[in-house]
Amino acid sequence: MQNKNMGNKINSNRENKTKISKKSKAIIILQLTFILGIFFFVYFFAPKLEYPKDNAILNKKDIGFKFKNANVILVDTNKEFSSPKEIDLDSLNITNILFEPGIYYWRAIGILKSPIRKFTINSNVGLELNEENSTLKNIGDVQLNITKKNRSGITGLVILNIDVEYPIDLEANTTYHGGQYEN
Amino acid sequence: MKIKKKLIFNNGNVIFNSLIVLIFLISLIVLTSNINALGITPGRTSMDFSSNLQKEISFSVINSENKNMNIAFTVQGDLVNYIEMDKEVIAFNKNENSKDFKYKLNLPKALSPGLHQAEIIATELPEDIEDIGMVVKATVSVATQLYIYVPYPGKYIDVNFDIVNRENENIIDFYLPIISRGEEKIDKVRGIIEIYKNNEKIRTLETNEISITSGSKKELNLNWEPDVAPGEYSASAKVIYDGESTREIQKAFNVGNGSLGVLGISVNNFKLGDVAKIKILVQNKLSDEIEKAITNLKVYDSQLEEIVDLKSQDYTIPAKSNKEMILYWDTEKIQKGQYSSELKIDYNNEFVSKNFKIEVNEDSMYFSGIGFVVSSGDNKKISTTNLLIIVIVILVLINLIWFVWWKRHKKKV
Repeated sequence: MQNKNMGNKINSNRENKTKISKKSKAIIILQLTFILGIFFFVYFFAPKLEYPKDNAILNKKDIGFKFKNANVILVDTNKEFSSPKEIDLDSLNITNILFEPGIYYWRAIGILKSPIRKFTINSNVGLELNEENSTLKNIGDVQLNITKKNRSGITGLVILNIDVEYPIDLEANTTYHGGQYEN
Repeated sequence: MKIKKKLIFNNGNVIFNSLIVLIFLISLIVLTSNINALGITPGRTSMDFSSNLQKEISFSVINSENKNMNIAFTVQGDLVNYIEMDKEVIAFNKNENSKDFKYKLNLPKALSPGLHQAEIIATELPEDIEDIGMVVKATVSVATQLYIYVPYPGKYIDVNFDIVNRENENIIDFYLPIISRGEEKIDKVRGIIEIYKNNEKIRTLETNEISITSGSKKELNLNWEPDVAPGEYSASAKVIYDGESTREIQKAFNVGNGSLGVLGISVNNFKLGDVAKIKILVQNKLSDEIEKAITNLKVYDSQLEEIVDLKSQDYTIPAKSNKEMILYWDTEKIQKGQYSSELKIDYNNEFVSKNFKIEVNEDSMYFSGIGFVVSSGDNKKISTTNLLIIVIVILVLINLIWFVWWKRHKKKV
């Protein structure tokens, strides 16, 4: 009788253990699923940067940033983002942002911060000589260092700001030359 | 009476003939109008020196006037021997707005430390001339520059100095962007900024200290809450690095609100198709009169194409008073919709610039959204993202607590 009782106890303990180990397995699987779920959630909802691509060199000044899973972007001229501009394109209801020529770094901020991307806005140098009005005009997007070159050599003329006209004494056999100013 | 009629007839004839001559002259002027314009992009390509580097560098020449012309290429500067251009002269026709070109860069094994430069120059020639020497009239040329930086032995820093006045918060931001152009890493870099009023030093400020590796760029910055009277000041900045010092850079800046403020912009009694009278109310905060203030409004469509560039007359704004500046915009070819714009007021060699959105309707025009570019970065509202983060953290915590509880409970069982 005692042996029978002992046998029943052992069987019930075994059943309990099997139940517990089944429960444990289920809980561990659930835990793993939860952790994986969080991981995938973060992965799929982490900011993804599409445009401009890393190290892109762009000739246009208006940049239409394309990214996913983020509200705002940070833009700065250094990759430490020591003086970032925080731009929320949605709240500003704009799609493109105008940039001056230069090198920029950007990242998107969502659940996580995205990696840093770099892009360069090329400068445009443009010079117009109006012979009727005898003027030079900076038609580019950077300050110009204007020189004139003729038989007597090269002479510095003026540092010309964007869109500014400069009167000259028009001379034949002369080339008016514009190059990006040092700054 | 007959004589009078004859006179009128003769006068009509004279007017008719004069008109023909005038039209002919105008046509002649238009046809022979001599505008030479040329563009090139990029204006500059900068790179660090790399021994024996071979590289093709692209650039574009822009036929700004869309006309038939020739372009002659020449190269100048101390890198001239390391640059090859395939073509010396190329032809543009009036349908070609721009053309892409490449030049080959073949750098030597070594160059002396510092900056080395070259200019690839595009010169406009008349369409029937292929030699610069044959050009007898005045012409224009533009250059795409090449800057090669060769590291200095030891430690060396290039520095710039920018000052930004956050008017609304009464904070002046000083920025010192630095580039390490030496071969060695610099352990300690800091900036010293001295503030002057009428050549008298009133403050000395110091930035934080950082380290910088060779060839990299960083920025030292400092926020100063000025406790001095509003007005114009100057700042002198230098960077101290591992016992050495850069040159001093000086810049002027204003403390307090800018001397000219835009109070508002409005259009009354507007009808689409009419000439809109845009009133810009500005405030002169100075105790001096502002002379020759000119306002300029550029309006852009949804593709950011400039559709109009408006300029006002010169205005004199009396000291410490408001003034209305007027711009006129002919909206005959404008459709209703939303436009973006940039308002710029030039005065006393300074300028104030604001961005507006313009809502154009059949019978109204609204300006809104001053200063659209930047939000200050201290926005405290809870965004969807922040909410998600909070939810995830709470879920993880609940899960962790539950898991710990379950482990303890299991042990007891």
